[in-house]
Amino acid sequence: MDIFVQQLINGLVLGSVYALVALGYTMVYGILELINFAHGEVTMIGAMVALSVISALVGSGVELPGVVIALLGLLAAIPACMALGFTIERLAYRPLRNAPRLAPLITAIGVSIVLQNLAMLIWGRQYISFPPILPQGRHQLLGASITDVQIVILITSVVLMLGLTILVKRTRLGRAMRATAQSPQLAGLMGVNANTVISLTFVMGSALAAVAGVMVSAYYGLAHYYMGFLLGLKAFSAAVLGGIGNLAGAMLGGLLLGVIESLGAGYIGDFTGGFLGSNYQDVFAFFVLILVLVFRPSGLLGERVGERA
Amino acid sequence: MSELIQLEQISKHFGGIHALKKVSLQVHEGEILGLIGPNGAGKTTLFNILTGLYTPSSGNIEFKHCSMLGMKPHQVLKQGIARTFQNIRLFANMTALENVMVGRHARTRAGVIGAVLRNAATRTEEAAIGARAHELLEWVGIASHAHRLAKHLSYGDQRRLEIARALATDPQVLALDEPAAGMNPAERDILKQLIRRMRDQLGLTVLVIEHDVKLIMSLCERIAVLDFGELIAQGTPDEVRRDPRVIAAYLGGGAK
Repeated sequence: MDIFVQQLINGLVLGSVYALVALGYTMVYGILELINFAHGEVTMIGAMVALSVISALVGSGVELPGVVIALLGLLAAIPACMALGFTIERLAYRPLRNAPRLAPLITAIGVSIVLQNLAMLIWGRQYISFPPILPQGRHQLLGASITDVQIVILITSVVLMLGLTILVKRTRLGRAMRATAQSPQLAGLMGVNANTVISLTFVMGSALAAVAGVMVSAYYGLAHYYMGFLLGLKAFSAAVLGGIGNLAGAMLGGLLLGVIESLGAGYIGDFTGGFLGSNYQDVFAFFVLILVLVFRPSGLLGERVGERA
Repeated sequence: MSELIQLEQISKHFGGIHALKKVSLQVHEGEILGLIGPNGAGKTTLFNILTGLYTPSSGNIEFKHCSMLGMKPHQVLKQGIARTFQNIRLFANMTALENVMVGRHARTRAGVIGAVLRNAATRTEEAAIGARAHELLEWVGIASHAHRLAKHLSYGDQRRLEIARALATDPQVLALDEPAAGMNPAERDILKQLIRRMRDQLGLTVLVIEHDVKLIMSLCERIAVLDFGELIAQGTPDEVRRDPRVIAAYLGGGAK
């Protein structure tokens, strides 16, 4: 029972990070019907930028509380990722707006490779560790333990998800986004500038990715130029699980995937008699992806939509 | 009555097909002008040119004595010309109210910063947009359906919703493309009164494309008739009704 609760907590924490990244995938897909495979790399760049700032601050020996330093790193990572997301859309996707669908998809993979290599050149191939500046408190909860970092991750994610939901449901910008997603041409006729809306979608998704990247590197205490690849694929699986293009779906998919992964890793040893260990954790995300694609391609909350006329 | 829109020698061809041939037409402020003609006569093409969806191959359009050539649809909308579509085009998965609120987009400002911060100015504007949208739904008579998705409304209500959305852009000119299509006689009557009210109470200039000649004759002060891309007649309903070229176009001119 203790293990179950513990894995559930770990899963929810991990899942809330997946959910933040998945939102970026699903927002872009909702408007452009494009899988932005470079989104995972944006997360990685966010983590890297934050770590650079944090390491520099720690190295310079300024007398600041660890939390403030981490926050400064985050505050550097968010605008950096927003600018990156904006630039990617502008340079790589906008020129292909009217090209066959496969072209931007392949470009997205290209952008992802470019960003990985760029990060490798800047930050090197080695793992970069997150300086131990954050409080290491642990709390007991239903026989399991939860750390301060985990609590912060959960709360931040929930606040961001709620904020995004309100923005999309209740504001003029959100209406413009939904209108553009349904019919870019018609939205244009109503005076909605599709280019602005698309840019803002990338910028918002990238800001969420930056937060996710910083949180995940703080959680594992590590960052690496390749970390965006797996994180991106899992978040993409989460978006598909929830129903791609659907915001609530991405959140649900992310949380579910985190929990499935975590529980799977916790119990796989018992089920296979020790034949498979928790290092098989990553298998579950893709196993779920395959099951969803076979049995419910439109995802849990997605509805079957016809081709756009 | 002063001239609001002036079309001069408008031609439009798609490859070898001449959809419009040198059409010149004036629209006067505050009138209800009907545009009729057999299928494929170029009526919708004319609307598309007027609203900036198409650029004419040659000719000029002036709105309030300023040329509108090369304007994008949303710029035309901002100038004050709104339209509805022959095949209804709503945001199907948004509520009726939200559809009208999107129509307010061109006349409101709040941007991303307002959306994130939700400051007082943004909230006031949001409230104003919502209130205006409600008012317009009431005005066209579908306020009770405000929170239903557009795709779940009846056909006639969808058409009225399109009108409400067009009105939300604060137009001076409203171009209605077959607003009565698919409506039963009772709905047509309501629509006729609605169009009259828009002119009388809101001071709109209304352009109507319609196949229902009886409706057009009883509604419009002036009628323009297109046939094979040419403007073959214009005038009061009585003048048009008696025009031999109009009769020939509708009854088949070849059979002499």
